[in-house]
Amino acid sequence: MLLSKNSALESKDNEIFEVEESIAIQSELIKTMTTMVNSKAYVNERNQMVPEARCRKQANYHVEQNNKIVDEELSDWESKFFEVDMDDLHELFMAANYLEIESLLNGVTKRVGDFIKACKNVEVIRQTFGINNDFAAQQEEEIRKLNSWNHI
Amino acid sequence: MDAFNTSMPLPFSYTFTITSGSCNTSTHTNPWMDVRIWSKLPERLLDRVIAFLPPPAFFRARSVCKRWYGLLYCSSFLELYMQISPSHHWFLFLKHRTLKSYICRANTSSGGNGDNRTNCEGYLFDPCDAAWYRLSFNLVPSGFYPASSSGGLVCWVSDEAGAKNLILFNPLVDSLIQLPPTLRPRLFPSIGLTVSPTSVDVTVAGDDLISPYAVKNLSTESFHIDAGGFYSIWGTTSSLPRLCSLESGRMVHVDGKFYCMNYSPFSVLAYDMAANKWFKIQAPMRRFLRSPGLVESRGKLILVAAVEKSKLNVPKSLRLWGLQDCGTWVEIERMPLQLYMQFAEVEGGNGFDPVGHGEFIVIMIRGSDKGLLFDICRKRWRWIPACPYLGSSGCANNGEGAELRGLAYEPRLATPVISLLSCFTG
Repeated sequence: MLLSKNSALESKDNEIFEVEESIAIQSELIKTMTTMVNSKAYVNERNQMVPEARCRKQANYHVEQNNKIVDEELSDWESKFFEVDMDDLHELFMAANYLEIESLLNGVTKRVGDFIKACKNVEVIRQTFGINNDFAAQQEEEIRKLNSWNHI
Repeated sequence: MDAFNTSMPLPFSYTFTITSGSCNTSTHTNPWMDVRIWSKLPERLLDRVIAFLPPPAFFRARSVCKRWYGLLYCSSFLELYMQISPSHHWFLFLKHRTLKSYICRANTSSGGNGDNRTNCEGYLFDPCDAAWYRLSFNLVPSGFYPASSSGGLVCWVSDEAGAKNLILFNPLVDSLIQLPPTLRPRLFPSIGLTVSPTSVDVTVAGDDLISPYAVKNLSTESFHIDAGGFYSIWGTTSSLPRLCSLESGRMVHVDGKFYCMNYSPFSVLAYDMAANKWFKIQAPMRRFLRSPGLVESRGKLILVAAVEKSKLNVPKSLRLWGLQDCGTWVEIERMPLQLYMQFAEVEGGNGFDPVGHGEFIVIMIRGSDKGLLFDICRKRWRWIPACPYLGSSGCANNGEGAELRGLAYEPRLATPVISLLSCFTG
């Protein structure tokens, strides 16, 4: 990889670290700010929300993504990358959303979706996301029947 | 949702255990979710997660609360869904009605109970989780057979000889629309369908009825409509190459062209939609192919066929070739020999039909409900688990073993392009 311009990003914990600009602009937010500020190294003062560990992890995510050429390697690597505690996953989710990094966001989204898929029943889903059941008992039963997919 | 059930009896022992991959849910991490943070997840992000769910999980999630129930009808959710939902490269199987059943039906005065509703249901197969689901096709009228699928829609064609009626149907949300009939009378033409979020293209080829009892492969006619307002109601016509034989009835769409197999001798016919022209491509090893078929995979055309060089001492095999941009074929995969021996034993010379999209190809053995699944990325072959819905009381199969024919089907919760067609209905 050619040595290209580096951007310095500051995280909420006041840690500054450098990433290649081509990786930094994977984040739509940073990309917008770069074009506005137009300097080789700048401090992103607005990056308030994102703790340092997240930033580093995301930078790594993109470096690795660019390195992996073969599809199989990429999908295996990606599934390992997202095998984290649900708390960490939540942070990744928030960070990817704030920084507007689509590929990272999609990866996390799918992982959370896998969790929903694996939930034993609908009540577990409600409990996890703190959702109230606002159906009448009969309604719920009817909906469940009409929407259940026959499977083995 | 059940994962691959290894205790189910499979016809042969040549199976692979599922190793970790992007299709599996992980059990290594701490599954405990802190409701304090997850309950505060912004609604928009939660909608994103729901939009990513495969259809069975999505429909189950509708029972969670009224808001989740209503997402299927909510335009802002559907917009998000159209933008970000991933493609699910699944397969739809239907019981195949042989030509014999058409003749029998014509001979009985009452029309028969069983035959008319043989295709009242379809069997959806998820190749990632190796799971089967059942879908109802009750809305589709009798007298139609399934021909093709694209962009979440399944195309049904009328049985009767003559101008052909076509129906586009989304089985997930029961939305159905009929196209205006083709202009030329045909018997069993080959159908090509390609659907995008903003356009529908259908090409109908061959089997021109030049008289009530004579069929010849002469012409094609195409239908087009798009959100930009351009349309062609079968007005785009073209001549087929002379002396072609299109037995498969199927056309595969790749990058603006429809491809179909041509027989005796084998070659591939291609229809360039933009140029409205047909051209021929030589098939690889054409003198030694058996049961060739075409599939699309990740933007490329793939030819699947058994190779038999009986005079030379070359072992029989089943091979896949990919069509390169320059027009030549490159062999990309060969079925492991041991597996091919098993496969050939089950197949018994009846032939096989491949269907595929994304990273999956399914090779169904003709006259049976058995098939092999090939994962192109991971280079894995395995037998498809038996479909648990065959022989159920809903659709009698007259005591014969069921034969399944497959379509490469991508389940979609919304197919708004159908609304473009509503201006043609009466």
